[in-house]
Amino acid sequence: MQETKILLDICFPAQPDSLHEMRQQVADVLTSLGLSYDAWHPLVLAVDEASSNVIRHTYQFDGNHQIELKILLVDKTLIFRLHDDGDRVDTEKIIPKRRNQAKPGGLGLHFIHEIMDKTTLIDIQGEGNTLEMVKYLQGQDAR
Amino acid sequence: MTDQAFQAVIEVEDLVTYYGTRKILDRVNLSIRQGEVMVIMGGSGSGKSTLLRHLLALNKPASGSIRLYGKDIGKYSTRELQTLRKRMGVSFQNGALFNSLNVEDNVAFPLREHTQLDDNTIRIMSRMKLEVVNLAGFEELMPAQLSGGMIKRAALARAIVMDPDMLFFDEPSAGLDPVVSADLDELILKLREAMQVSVVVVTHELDSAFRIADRIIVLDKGKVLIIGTVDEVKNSDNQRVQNLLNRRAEDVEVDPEAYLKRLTENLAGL
Amino acid sequence: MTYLVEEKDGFLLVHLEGDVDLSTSPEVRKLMLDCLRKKPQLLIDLSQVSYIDSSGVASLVEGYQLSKSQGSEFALIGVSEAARSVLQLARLDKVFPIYDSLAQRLQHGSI
Repeated sequence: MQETKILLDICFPAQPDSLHEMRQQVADVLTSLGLSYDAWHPLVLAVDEASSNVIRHTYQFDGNHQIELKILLVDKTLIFRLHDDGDRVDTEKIIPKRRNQAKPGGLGLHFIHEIMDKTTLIDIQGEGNTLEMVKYLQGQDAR
Repeated sequence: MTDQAFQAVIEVEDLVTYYGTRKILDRVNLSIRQGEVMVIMGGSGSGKSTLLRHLLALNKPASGSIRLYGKDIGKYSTRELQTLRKRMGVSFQNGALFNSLNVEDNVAFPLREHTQLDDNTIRIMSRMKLEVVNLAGFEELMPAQLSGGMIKRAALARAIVMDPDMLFFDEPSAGLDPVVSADLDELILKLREAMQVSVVVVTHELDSAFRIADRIIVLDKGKVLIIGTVDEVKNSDNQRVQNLLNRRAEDVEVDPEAYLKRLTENLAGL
Repeated sequence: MTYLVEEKDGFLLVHLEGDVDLSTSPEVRKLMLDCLRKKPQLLIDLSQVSYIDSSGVASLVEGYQLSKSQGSEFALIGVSEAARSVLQLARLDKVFPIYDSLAQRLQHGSI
């Protein structure tokens, strides 16, 4: 049985001003795993970009909403789960096409896709959207 | 005819193809032997998918020839080609499964299309193939209920349901995590053992290519860079082959002007 | 994020410091577009940038394109490690003119 460790479970206001502190918390968690700057900095960027997308597109800068962020470690796999309570997002818009060249506005998605090993918009019953980003700590060269 | 040519199931000679005026494949030579796993590699736009379509006799060469079982594809009648295609199992990247059919009906589809077998026979044959790919018990599920890895395995079951002589895969591990991808590779090798089929795989996943290939052909801008065993490819001193092995190096070569233009075109004030 | 604008050796230097993210990139964008109105030879100093996201990078791209269209110079200098890795990820490290410093830019000839 694989053990699941919850490394971080936070909820922050969906405002650009909250991103700095969120990034700090994510960076703290990742450095405590022993990841080097080159390893954790892109992951922080990906989480930040995903959060920015929620603030910009899902909530359209309505800062009364919240974003939930969970970071899980399952064996050697890092799972970043970002949940919002906004309107359903079209999967096509969130999941970048493979090797999609960055287009205006698509740069953030391009980053997420380049950095993470797998990005899924999880369709669960209920409100909102859950974006799950997966990074394999072993075999990072698998992609 | 040499021994080697006699064993070859597909022979490609000086294949040239165009898309409009753009040359996609440039004098490609390749033979695929009975029972071998041939992996076609190359960056995007290298022509690897086009080559696959030619091996499946779906495209017509501009010049050069493709021989299937020793006979030029152009010399087969339409009817003969149809029969030949039934001996080729194909699993394409996206054309995975019919979303409207459950797993068993998906696998049974080619049998229902191409044979007059009794439906009970068809169902038993389909379930046998699902057994082979470790999907027994999932017959009734719809594709939407399956994980990515299970979808690939179901597609694989469908590809082998007609007991083909040749199996073709287009990016079999695309979108799968490394563990599931490795499982799928194992399955491909197991099938080759069990059915003595020739397997052609188009992939850009290096780990996967090195695991399954007997030989690898590397394409670059429509030309063959190298054909060889895994070790020969790994040890190649061709810089472009090494670039491919060290992945993405080629990809990063963007035309700065064009890229900047793409990023900023149609923006207000620019 | 803080910034400082100075004129030096015929260049307009914009020093950025801190995080350029969704909360600060609109400011950076406005600053750059304001600066560009005078069609200066503009150098953006990223040596003190601790973090930059895609919106920050997009602002730089817009500034660069505007400079090109009006025929003025635009370059990045002293790109920090954080900024460099993001530019690489965006495949823009070969797109922008990049110099280590103002001094290195000056070695490449006059304006």
